[in-house]
Amino acid sequence: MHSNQSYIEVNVKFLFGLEKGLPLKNRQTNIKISQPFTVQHLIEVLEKMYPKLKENIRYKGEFVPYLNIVVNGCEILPIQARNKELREGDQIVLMYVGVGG
Amino acid sequence: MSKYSAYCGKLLRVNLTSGVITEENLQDDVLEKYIGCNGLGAYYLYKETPKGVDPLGEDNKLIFFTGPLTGTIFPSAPKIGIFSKSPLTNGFMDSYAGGHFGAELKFAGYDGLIVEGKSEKPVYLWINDGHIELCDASKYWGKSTTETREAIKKDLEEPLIRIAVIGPAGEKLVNYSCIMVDGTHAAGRGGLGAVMGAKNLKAIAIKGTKNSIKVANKEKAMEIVESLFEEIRTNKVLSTGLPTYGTTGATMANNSTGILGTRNWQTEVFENAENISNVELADKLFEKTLSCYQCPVRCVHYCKIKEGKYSGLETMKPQYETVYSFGSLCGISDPNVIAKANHVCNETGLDTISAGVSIAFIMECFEKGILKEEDLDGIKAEFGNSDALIELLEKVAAKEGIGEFVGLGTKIMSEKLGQGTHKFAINIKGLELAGHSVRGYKGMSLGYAVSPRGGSHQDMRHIPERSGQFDRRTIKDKEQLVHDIMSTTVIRDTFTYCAMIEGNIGRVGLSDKHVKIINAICGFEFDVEDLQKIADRIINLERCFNVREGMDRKDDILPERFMTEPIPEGPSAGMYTPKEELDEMLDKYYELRGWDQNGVPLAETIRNLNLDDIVKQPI
Repeated sequence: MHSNQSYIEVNVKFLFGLEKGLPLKNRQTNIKISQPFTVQHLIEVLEKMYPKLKENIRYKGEFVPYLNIVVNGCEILPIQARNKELREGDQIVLMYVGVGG
Repeated sequence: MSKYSAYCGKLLRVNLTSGVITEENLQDDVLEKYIGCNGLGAYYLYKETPKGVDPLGEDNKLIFFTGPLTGTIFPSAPKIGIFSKSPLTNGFMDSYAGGHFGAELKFAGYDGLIVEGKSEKPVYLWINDGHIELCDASKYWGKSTTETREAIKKDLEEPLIRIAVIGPAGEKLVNYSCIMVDGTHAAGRGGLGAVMGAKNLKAIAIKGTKNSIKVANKEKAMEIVESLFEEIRTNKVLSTGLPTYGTTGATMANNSTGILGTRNWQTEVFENAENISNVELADKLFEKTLSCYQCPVRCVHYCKIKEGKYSGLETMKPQYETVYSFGSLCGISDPNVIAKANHVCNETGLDTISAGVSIAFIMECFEKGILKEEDLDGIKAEFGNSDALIELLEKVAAKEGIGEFVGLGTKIMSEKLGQGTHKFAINIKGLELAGHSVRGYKGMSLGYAVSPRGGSHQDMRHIPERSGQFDRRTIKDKEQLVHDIMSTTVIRDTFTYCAMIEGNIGRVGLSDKHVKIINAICGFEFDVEDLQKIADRIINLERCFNVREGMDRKDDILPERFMTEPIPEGPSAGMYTPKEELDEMLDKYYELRGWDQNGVPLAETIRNLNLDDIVKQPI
């Protein structure tokens, strides 16, 4: 495991309007995070980097229910973000669940 | 008059053979059983069409219904539902369009309209408040949807009327021709434009100024409405995403999880998806937003093509399903071409989903050498060939040359071609598949298979699996999920609120929220159990219609590609729905629904749902 690692680097992509107002290139960023290596921690780091993101994904402090978090192609519910572990090189997509057609 | 509020209590019946136009009262006991739009459409279609009716024959009916929410203060409930036996599927078909047409019909004094028979010559129906007239439409025959709409407005000297119209594709009875509503909305699916064309009915024009719609409990209704407006205002998808991008955000969302139909679903990752993303479409095309009646969301957009071959064209901005069908599915990565293809469909009256999927099928036949340039009027139908896409579309609309064949749809084309093409003919019950993966969602696999329409994404919805709320990779408990979601979609289409706000009311299963809405608006005294029974009744009635027309378990099947070829790459690689998995889900679903192993509703189910007054045994 990676318990001895100080940092891991992951790729984060922002879609479906979440990228709006964020200083990103190609709607994505590579980011190093320290422990705990969880989705929850990653989002907290991102919110500090991009204050606008917080406005886009939270309402009254809680994640909006239509936030879609995808880790390596697998959807996780915002409520599971705290425990969802991340590894070096993981690809995370943050987006809204949209209706589509 | 109905004792329930929010209804006009009247139905207009137009017999095109005799020219006789009558008004009928809607019976309260029928409203109590079917409530509105989807429910009433299913009821009248089943009751009034004979078994084996020819979809394009005189005996088929074309039925329009509003819902009780239409024309009220309730937000985002503008839809008009259109019902008939489909020439594409030979089964039950319902298709819904937004805009203002539905509300206008109610303001003119009618909850619905039944068109029957066939006119000897082209006509249009002019509903001018209480005055109804069939008018000669010979001079509009052959004209595009916009030309017709504008000409009727000018000739009637009524610039603000609402019009539903068919284009040349509907006149020529193309199997997947649509009805364009208010110029910017389509009742797209299942070839209802051809049904209208077969009746020689070019358009329906409405002016409604006299009738006001009352709600039963103003105080409770306002409480619900205010709360819904607040939810819409604070929801980023509804307040920002849809007004900026329409539904096109789904393109990159689907691609990022490897479930974006690409090159006729040979894969589900499109390497050029970024070029047709929501951001690209907005940057390249967006001009301004439009709103349906009483809708704060504004997901419909005008656009202007600013560069390239179609530069200067002002038209509607394509929504997600169209970006999928003409974009990734045909290997096209130019938003301007997709907008042009969308424009051709809107003006000639074609369903963009079935048109795109049919052309993608032709492109795969071309790629495999089954069809050659000489078979295709010299068109080099390669994936990614924009000119081929537009040329084929224009031929379909004109029913000219190879276009006549492509206009049959993928099911009939593959039956005629043979050579194993059925394996990649992407339709369910003959209806081409919408842009939401079968292989990528186990629940959608089952939902698509049992959808009365076939390849529609509006009976089963993908979002509960997409969000992670339900695991899209397992078949466990999916029969219950499909049951619950289809209960909400049929009630959505019965009340007639838009799919864009369905998440605010509840996607998985009926709740107090549904009950409070309908009771406050209409004055019913339903509870959740009553509403569930109504949903079950409508779903079973649609099923009975299909069974009566010869459908059963054999038709609850997926395209062979999705049952035998795993997704080859990307984050969802390896996923597919083998026949055994589908069968297991079907067995459980049929049992849950009270159907036999062949998918036929049991006599006991029919009785329990009080359908035995119109469904005779054996079906």
